[in-house]
Amino acid sequence: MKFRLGLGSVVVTLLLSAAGPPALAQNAADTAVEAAKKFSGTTLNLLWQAGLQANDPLVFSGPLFEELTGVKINVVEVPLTEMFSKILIEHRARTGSFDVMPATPAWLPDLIEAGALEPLDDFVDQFGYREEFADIAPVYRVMGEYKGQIYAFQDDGDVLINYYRKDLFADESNKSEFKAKFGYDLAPPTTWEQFSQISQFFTEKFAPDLYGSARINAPGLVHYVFQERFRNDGGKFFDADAMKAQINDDVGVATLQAMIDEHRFMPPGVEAWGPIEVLSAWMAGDLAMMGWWPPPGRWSAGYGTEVEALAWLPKSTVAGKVGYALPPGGAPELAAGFVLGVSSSSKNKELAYLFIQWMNSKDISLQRTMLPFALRDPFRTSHFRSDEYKALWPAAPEYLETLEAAANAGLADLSIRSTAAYEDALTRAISAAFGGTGVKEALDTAAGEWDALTKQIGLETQKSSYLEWASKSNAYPR
Amino acid sequence: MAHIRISSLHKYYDSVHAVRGIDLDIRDGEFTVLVGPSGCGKSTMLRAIAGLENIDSGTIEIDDEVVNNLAPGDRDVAMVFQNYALYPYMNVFDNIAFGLRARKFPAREITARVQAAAETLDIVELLKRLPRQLSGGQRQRVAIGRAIVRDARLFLFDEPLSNLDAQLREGMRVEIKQLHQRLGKTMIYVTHDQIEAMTLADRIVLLKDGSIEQEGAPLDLFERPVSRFVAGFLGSPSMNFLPAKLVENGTYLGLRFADDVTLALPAAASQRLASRVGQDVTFGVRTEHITPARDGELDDGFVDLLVTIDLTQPTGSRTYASFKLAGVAVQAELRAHDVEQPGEQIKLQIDMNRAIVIDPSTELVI
Amino acid sequence: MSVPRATAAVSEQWVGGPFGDSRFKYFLIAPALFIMLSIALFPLINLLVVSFQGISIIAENKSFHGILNYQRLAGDSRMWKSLLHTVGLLLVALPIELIFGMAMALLFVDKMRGRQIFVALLVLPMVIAPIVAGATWRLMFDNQFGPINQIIGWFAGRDVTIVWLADSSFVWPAILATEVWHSTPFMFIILLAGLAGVDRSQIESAQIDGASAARIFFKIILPAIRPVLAVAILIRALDLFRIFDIIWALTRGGPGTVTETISTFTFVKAFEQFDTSFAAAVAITVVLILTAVTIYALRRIEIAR
Ligand SMILES: Nc1ncnc2c1ncn2[C@@H]1O[C@H](COP(=O)(O)OP(=O)(O)OP(=O)(O)O)[C@@H](O)[C@H]1O
Ligand SMILES: [Mg+2]
Repeated sequence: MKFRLGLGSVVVTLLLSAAGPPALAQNAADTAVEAAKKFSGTTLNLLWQAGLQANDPLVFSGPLFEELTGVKINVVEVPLTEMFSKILIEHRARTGSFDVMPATPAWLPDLIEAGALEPLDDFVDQFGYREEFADIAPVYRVMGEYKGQIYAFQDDGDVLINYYRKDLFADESNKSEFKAKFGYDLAPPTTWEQFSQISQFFTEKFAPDLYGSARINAPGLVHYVFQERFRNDGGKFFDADAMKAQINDDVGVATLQAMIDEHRFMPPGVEAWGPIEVLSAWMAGDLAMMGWWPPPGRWSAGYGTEVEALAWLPKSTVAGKVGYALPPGGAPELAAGFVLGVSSSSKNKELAYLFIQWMNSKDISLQRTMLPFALRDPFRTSHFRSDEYKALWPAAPEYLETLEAAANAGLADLSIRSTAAYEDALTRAISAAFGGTGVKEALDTAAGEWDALTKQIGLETQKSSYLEWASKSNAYPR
Repeated sequence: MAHIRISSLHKYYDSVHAVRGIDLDIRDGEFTVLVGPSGCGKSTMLRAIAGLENIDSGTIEIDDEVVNNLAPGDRDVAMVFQNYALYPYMNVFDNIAFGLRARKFPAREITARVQAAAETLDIVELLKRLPRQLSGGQRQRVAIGRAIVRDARLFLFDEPLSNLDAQLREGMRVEIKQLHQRLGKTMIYVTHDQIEAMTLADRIVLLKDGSIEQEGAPLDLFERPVSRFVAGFLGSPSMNFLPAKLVENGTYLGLRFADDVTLALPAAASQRLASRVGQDVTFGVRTEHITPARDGELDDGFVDLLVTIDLTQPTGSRTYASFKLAGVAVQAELRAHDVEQPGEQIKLQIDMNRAIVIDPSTELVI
Repeated sequence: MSVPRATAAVSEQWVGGPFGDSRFKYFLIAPALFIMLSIALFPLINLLVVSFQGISIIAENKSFHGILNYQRLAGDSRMWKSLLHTVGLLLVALPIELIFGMAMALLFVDKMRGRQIFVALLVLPMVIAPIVAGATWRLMFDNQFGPINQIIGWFAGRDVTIVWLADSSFVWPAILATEVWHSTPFMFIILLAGLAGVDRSQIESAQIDGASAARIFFKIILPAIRPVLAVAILIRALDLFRIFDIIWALTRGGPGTVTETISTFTFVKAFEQFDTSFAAAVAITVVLILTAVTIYALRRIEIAR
């Protein structure tokens, strides 16, 4: 608590002094603040992901907004795994117990169809947000749109990029040995075959001191990896006419088989690794490559890791040695990634909207994505090009460049009705195959479950939902 | 048939020294009763003999074989427990047959033996019943049946009658005695009831605080107790004890009490105690030796005394009457109508031949 | 003669419980009974109603759907598999816990030095919440840092990297170990209490009769503790049937659905996938199965009569 207050006030003062005299042409943040002032004294309830993420509204944006508008921000922390349930249950009971809610794009079809989210177009016009809204990178911008309306603003640039060790890739002996063995130059992989061979090369040469790569295999997350690779290799989740699941086709089987085969070149036990294990190994310098969300780009460089909230993080031994690349295939998964919306049962929708506009605005969102501890990553074109951000550590320009490229090529998570059930079936197939079940058999089971789910949800309902999702540019590689 | 030899047996329960160096020989076929106040170590001894309790030192021999390290089942003994320890989920037949089955007797012989034991104990019609469907006396018989059916060489009884009412107890006492006569087995019987001990025993072993106070034939102990403890323990009502001083009294010695009453001691006692004249002693005499004085000359060694009766306790056949001698309450045994009312005066005679004199410092009879 | 009369009056009173035949007792317990029944039954009735509706993530459809959910359930192989896993775990874990608990109880029923401390230590796992036990064992089974692989490694003489919780051939033993570790103390403590109540002299009598330890155990001790044993088995069987926390903490039912039990399945359906009415139908089915089994078991052990 001490840390939070201390750090918060520091940031607040910094920001207030940086703001200087009020600008003439009002930006979206100022507009929101001005309009919110009439609500001074009221309290806005925020549902937020428990953990590091909550430091953003608790320490930074909440206190700042209160200082600017007199509106009190009350943060209700809920673990990620329970957020969706909580939102839907509270909505069905019409409790109105929170006004602002974050969501992942995969939940949106269900939440929107259930009427849990307020359409935002009118507010956007009323408070002059169109222009700054358009600054959100296109793949992210469309995430919160559903059937032609805006329901939420993308608020986080989550994408799985490939980190690699520049020092190892540049090492002359590595380069020549690799070339001798595989017949091409050692460089960040552009195909999964290359990825596997590079993994093999480093593992065979350095294990157990260093392994070629590791993967986030934890249930609930590993399906993102599959989704990305399956689509990069030409897979389609459904055939758009009959809505038959196709994850068990040749592409699916090959994808999953390749994932399993790569385990040979990863640290022992990687089958059970979650994000923390992968990250720890990376920070300790035990991996030549890893796929992860954006934060390790900052942490590897040592940026901001001294704050107490990140004390759990292993000290980076790889600062200055980290290169950033798009993953093989070139179309990275925009895995999870939060959007911000307004609860339809809020008693204070206008204020709730103003708060998210302010949070999401160019100015404030840049500050938020630069917070070391809040796990919000760049998602606006202006973020990617920000001189302020580029100055944070030496390789930051490269990092932002990679994130921008990733954003432009990124693939949205499958987001249809009851997505969680589909993800769950897929996850179980993957972990079953990791655990020894045949790949084809596991995927057949999952595909069967997908078809059953589709039938149960209603073929037409699900089809329209799928087509809505698939019609967006970020559904399949372009 | 078995003879038992126990030598310097010690048993501790943590800090409690329950049995303190007991030496005891029990002859073949003898009915030995271990008796003594509660907590004196009777059960412990019995259980040690059965093998249910480890001993800390000493030896227990049965038929010249040291059995210290033999499991209970290998000692060929049978035991009847105070609470009968019947197996509640087996009927009477199975209860009695349990030991035979455990020892893998053939089925036919089991049936025959159980039948015979049941006939002996007159419980044939109970064989199909469960223990909880039996009266206390019937359970007792089943417990005994379970012991005798195996024809063990040694029988152990731990207060087997204490849960029965007075009348049943008397009947069972007789039966156990008959059983002993019929079977001729060595039996060790624990009780704290001195009447049981007296009536059943060939030999009484009187324990106190884990040691043998006195052993011998019942009447031996009754008539020639070695200590105040033995004298007081056996006999009902209990022996009267009075503080007195040993004094010269004419030819012989006498006992002078606090109120200067002096009772003359007979010749034999006087001789024995001559060296102790002037010492403080305790005088002990049983109620049945204080009786109404007969008219005429007193018998040799008898003294007489005129007393006022404070309290009477008629039992029907006789009446126990209390009076004060030197301020101490003393009981006499009168015939039914010798005294009708408390406060009456009566002349009593005391059989000083049967009285004992105790050294109060050692509590031993002198 | 007032004393005997008073005694007689008291003993008469106790004939039909403290209030005798009086209607008053029904009057007294009626409110409590009513509250208890409504608290117990209301959720069940609600569950039953929901199980005939069509509430899911797609719609809050409260109209009557007939036995649709039950039909779906009958054809849902994942649910039957999870039921099979549950019963399988029960059939394996329960005897192990019973045997271990019994062995420990037999060991500690006799007085010995340090008995109290040992018993207290052995009972310790029981006071740990199952979810915590699961989380703790998750660390124990960690393939990198977990002591279990290290210990096996010492014996094997080389590095062991069994991925206990992600490998279908090791995951059940891991769950079993955790469950047995966590629940054996319950068996132990109940059986210890049961054994302490066995009449020692019956055992001694049997010893003198020359009965072997096995015969004494099966013929004397076992019948004596049968009611206690039956209750312990019943309680543990119901617990095992509902097992959730340990599995959730260890594997969440994975890899795949290899370790899914009926409770984790229902939880996933109800709270992760919002298949509310379907989950209600599963829950009702489980309630029916358990009620039937419990009634049968209670009849057998003659407690409910
Ligand atoms: N299991 C035990 N643990 C500790 N002390 C014991 C135990 N059994 C007996 N004792 C102690 O040993 C002494 C002898 O006990 P024992 O049972 O032999 O007495 P007893 O003569 O049979 O008495 P009673 O007539 O009351 O049955 C007593 O002081 C008793 O408290
Ligand atoms: Mg005793």
